[in-house]
Amino acid sequence: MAILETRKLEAKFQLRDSVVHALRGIDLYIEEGEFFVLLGPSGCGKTTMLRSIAGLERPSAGAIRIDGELVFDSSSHLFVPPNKRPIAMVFQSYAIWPHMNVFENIAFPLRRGRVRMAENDVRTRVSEVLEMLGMGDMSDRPVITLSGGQQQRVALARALALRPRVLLMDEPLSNLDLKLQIRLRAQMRDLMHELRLTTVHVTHNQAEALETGDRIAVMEQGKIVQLDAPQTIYHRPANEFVARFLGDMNIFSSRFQSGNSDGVTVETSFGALVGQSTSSRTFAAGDNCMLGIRPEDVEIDGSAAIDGPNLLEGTVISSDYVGEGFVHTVAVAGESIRIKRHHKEAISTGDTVRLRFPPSQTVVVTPAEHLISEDLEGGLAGEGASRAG
Amino acid sequence: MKYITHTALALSGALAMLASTSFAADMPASVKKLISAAVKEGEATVFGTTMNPRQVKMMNTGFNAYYGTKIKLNQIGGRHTRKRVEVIRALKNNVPTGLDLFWTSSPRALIKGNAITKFNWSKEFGLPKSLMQGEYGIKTHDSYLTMVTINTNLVKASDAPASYDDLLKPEWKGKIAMPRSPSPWIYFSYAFGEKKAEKYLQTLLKQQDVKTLPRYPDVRSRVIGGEYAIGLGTDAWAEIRKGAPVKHPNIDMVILAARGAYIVKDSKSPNIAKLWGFWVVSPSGQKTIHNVRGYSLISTKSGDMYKYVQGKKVVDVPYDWRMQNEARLSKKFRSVLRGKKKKKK
Amino acid sequence: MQGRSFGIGWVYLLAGIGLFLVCISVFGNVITSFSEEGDVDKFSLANYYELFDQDTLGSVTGRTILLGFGTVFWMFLFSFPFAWLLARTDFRFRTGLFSLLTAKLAIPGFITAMSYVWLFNPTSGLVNQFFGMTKFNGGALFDVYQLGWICFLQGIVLVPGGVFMMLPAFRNLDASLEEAAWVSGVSKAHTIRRIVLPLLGPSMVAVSIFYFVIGVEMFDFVAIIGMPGDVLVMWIYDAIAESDGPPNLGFAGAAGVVLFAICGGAIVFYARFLRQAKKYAVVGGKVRATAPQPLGELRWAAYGCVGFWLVATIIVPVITIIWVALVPFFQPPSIAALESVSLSSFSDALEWIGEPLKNTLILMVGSVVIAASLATSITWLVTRSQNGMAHWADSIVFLAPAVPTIVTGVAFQFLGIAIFHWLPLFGTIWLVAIAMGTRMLAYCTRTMNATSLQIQFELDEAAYASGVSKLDTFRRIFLPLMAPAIFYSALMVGMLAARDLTLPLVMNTGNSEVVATLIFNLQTNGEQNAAAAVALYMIVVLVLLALFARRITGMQEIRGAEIVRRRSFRDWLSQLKNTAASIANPSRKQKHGYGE
Repeated sequence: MAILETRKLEAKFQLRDSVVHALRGIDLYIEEGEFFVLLGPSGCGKTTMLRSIAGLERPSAGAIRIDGELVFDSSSHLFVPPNKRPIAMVFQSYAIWPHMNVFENIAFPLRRGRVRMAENDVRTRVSEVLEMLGMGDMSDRPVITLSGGQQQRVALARALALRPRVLLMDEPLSNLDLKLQIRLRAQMRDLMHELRLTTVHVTHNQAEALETGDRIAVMEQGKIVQLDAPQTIYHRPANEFVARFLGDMNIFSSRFQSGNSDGVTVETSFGALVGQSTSSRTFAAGDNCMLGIRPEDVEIDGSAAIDGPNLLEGTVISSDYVGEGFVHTVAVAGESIRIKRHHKEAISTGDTVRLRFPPSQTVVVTPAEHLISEDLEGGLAGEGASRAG
Repeated sequence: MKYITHTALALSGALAMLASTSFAADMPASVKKLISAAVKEGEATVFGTTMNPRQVKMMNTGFNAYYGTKIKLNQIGGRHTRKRVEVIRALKNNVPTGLDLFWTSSPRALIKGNAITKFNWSKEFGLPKSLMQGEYGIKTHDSYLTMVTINTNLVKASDAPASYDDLLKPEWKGKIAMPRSPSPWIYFSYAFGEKKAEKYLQTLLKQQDVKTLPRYPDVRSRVIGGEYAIGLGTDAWAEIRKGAPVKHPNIDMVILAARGAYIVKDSKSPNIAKLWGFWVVSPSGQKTIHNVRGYSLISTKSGDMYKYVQGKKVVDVPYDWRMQNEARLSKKFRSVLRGKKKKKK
Repeated sequence: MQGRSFGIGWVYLLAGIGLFLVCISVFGNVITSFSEEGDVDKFSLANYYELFDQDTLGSVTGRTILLGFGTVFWMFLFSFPFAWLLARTDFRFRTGLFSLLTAKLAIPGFITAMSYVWLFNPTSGLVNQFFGMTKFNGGALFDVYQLGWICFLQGIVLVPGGVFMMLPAFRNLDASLEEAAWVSGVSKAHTIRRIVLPLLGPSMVAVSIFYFVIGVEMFDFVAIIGMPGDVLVMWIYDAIAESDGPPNLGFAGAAGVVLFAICGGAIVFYARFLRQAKKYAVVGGKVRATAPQPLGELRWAAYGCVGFWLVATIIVPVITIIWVALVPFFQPPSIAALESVSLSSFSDALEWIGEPLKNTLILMVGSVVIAASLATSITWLVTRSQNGMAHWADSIVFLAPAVPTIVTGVAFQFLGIAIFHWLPLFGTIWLVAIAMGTRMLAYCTRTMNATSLQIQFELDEAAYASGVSKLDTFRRIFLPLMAPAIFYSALMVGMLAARDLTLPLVMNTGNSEVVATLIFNLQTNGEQNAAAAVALYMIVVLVLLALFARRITGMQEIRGAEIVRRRSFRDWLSQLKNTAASIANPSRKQKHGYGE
């Protein structure tokens, strides 16, 4: 059962002498209990999307339905204000009220919000939610004396206490230090799952997205360019943009030769290589495309001899230590290829090495310049359009 | 430390009371019979002259001593022009004006606006016909907006101006102050003729560098303070009696205009109003308003004005002439005061 | 939508009432300009003919504009450093300076004007006499009857208002914006020039424009001191302030409309800056104010600046009033004068001050309540309702001070008459309070707008997204965070309402005598000394009120931002005890909340 649905959502902003299209027709279908991530660089429209769902911004066209109720419909000029929608929101800046203490910040919406609770119930609910987040003893603290992480938790507590149908989060972790971010993101996801709380989480941090999301919608320039489970997004990006945006990717221009859904052959500066097409587009011979492979997927000769299709030979330019292993940069046919290995030894600069791109890990994707017209129009006709969890 | 101010005033107050009691016996029956109705009314408000609490008290004491009553008099002042408009508008809308008497020189607008009641003071109370102001008002004192004051520290008696023309002498350049109001010039127009009055004003402004101040009291106080040697357009009787270094030089002409009391249409205390009018022109009342503000009819022998006008040419600006010419002249002289150079078509 | 409660409609209603009242005075002015002889039922262009027929209209208008600029210049010259000292430095006497600024508000303008005339007029000015250089002694050393002097005096008396209006912007400047420059190697001076000043720019411009409008309409100095040639406000005064002769409200209205036109240009600028100011509101993130900067050697300049202002605006007038209160009539100090010194005026003043004082307090409270409540609603409308038409409301309110006080008074008298049968306010002090509150709306909205713009809108959004209604957000989020701005505005309004003369004078029908009109009545009738004594009493009372108001309302400064915690009754009681204890034992340090 879809708890959040948007149809052809569009949003426009008027600048002095131009119009910015923040959303260009977004269709979403989010299941109950899903931890749904909107991922993208700044300016892609993800925050506009979130705020439109919340009712803090008014789209120019389309419809939004939350928990079966229509809350926005441009054709009938329907706009339900945010305080009447069954949502709760955590802001990037936390937006906790500085003149109140922790207890009051959480209690205020319970007393004066959509559902007005009796004072006893308010007290119970507040302590419950504070306990849940490990802040049981901080009830009386004025919020401006709290650390960033504590404030974030207050913001979260405030939202959770409302028991909304949909929880909206706008980059809630981005103001915290890295360690805290990493620790909290997993906790958050587990908590939402435990509560069976449908969450829409906006972030630009792809590691966070991959770790927390049940499904990720990658957005760029107001459109969703791929909507899939994290693994699919990571290993089978549909286009160059997604490929580059998530993780590290070696990506090269290539030209399509032949192939089908089982495997394709493309012409690159290393010669002909085989891989898998993950694009929703059907390539014709001679079409421009991009070939990509993750650094951690590249096989490099060492103890085991490597053999098979997609064999390359190159010279090591550098080996950089990154704590968990090495990143080797190898020059092949004028291109640099990066390889990641968890082994503890470097490879000497200048050494000749042999590389192999396993065809199952090699992807062929749509190039970035085709993004607007083709992939965007395609929208979600391809995979993941209405994938149930 | 001098307590002259207090002693003098207290003394005058006592005298007034004394004077009043001895004249009460001569009160006409038509006046006497209003007293009990007035007592029932209890309180009345007279608009026309701003008074401080001490002066208000003196008015109350004088009035009540004269009639043997305990009536409350409110004496308030303000801008007459504005107040007239307000009173007319209030009456038009059936809103209580809160006033009983309008004490002013110019009732023209009030008559036009149907804001005052006709009352034949002279006939009803046996008062001289000369005191009647049209069909509505009674003349309470002669107003002298054209008086000259000099600071006795700055102007030697021998140099004191003896005529209005003397003010144009070069030695007084930059030393004269006058109010911004065009009202004195209405009276000058009657006395000198309009053209001459205009020329006189222009000369004062341009050649004599006369300083215009916002209000009549400002002229008074700043002449007293020594900032200006000569003031034109206001009297200073009260201050003279207080011992301030100021006096009225013997200008050969005295130009007067009457100030009258007019009963407001929706007066809640018309009897008090009538009694007030009668009292003010009586010797007792004349003494009181003289003590309070230096007002008097020139006919009142105990007043300063009476002494002053002896041997001088007195020009009394008639009521009807004022009614006809005030508006026009006021507008014209305001323009001149604003700096108008020549008359446009 | 269910109409279960009026909700945020109350705020719109209050804002609407505020706008309506402002329109009364604004349009009252315009309507009378088209009336004939003050009779507003007849339409006529005669007033405009008369106005444009005046030969000197051009120079008068020009002089009026110069007056505005000059006033703003002098005001700025002191307000900017003072606001800087208060908000950004470790100046030793910050509390003292703040108290001084508040105290200055208690001194009426006409008293300051008179004291300067007395000292610096070219014929008998005491300072000139002291140096033996008067107009008739070979040329005066000082001649106060000049446009320059008037600009100077108007400017310096407006300084407290200017400072209060600029302070929120100075206080809320995010330190990280400057620190970013410093760590990049930019010198502090350069940072100030290129980062801080531009960020403060919109606020400074807004305050300047506001006081331009105030400056061209101020009456006391222009009237009492005077200068060669008129300005428009004198023409307006002339037209209305006759004691004999016919009324000329129409002419006053016409001249007032010209004044509007001048101010209108200023207001258009202002509207543009308001939009810009919104850009500079802190977006997300928390604002950390810059730590107080050490003044170092500059502190001597600061002392000099503050000292000069103190002498010029407070010491000179107060000493004058004290002298005038002691002598029977205006005169320079001399042996004779000293012999006539007496304290009788002080006892007289006590005798007469009772009823007027009561009325003044009613007037103060009424004006404050009306101005603060209406202005808060209007500020919300303009800065937080996200209503596209809201900036019109702001511009209209901005126009209110451009209406000459006299005309506002008359307009409200007419209103009082018109609505008498539903609301019998005509003739009471309450009508005066409404008129006064309306005039003061602009002071309040200026201060409150600046503060509101610095409060991130996300705080409102967080409430909406949590299901809280707009009205509850207004009451529980907006109002508490606005408390400091509301407080300062209320303080200003209270002080100005207490000492304003023109409005109560115009609207007095006998039952609404206030202290200012008492002073006026005494002064008009030769009781200068009693007038001065009353003025002294009033100044003392107002200063005490203002200085305690801060303590009483319990403003606490936490980390540079002023926030009022929700107080429990016990908190409030202990604060009172604290205050009482510190008065009883001045050396004991006051207990405060979390750090100060």
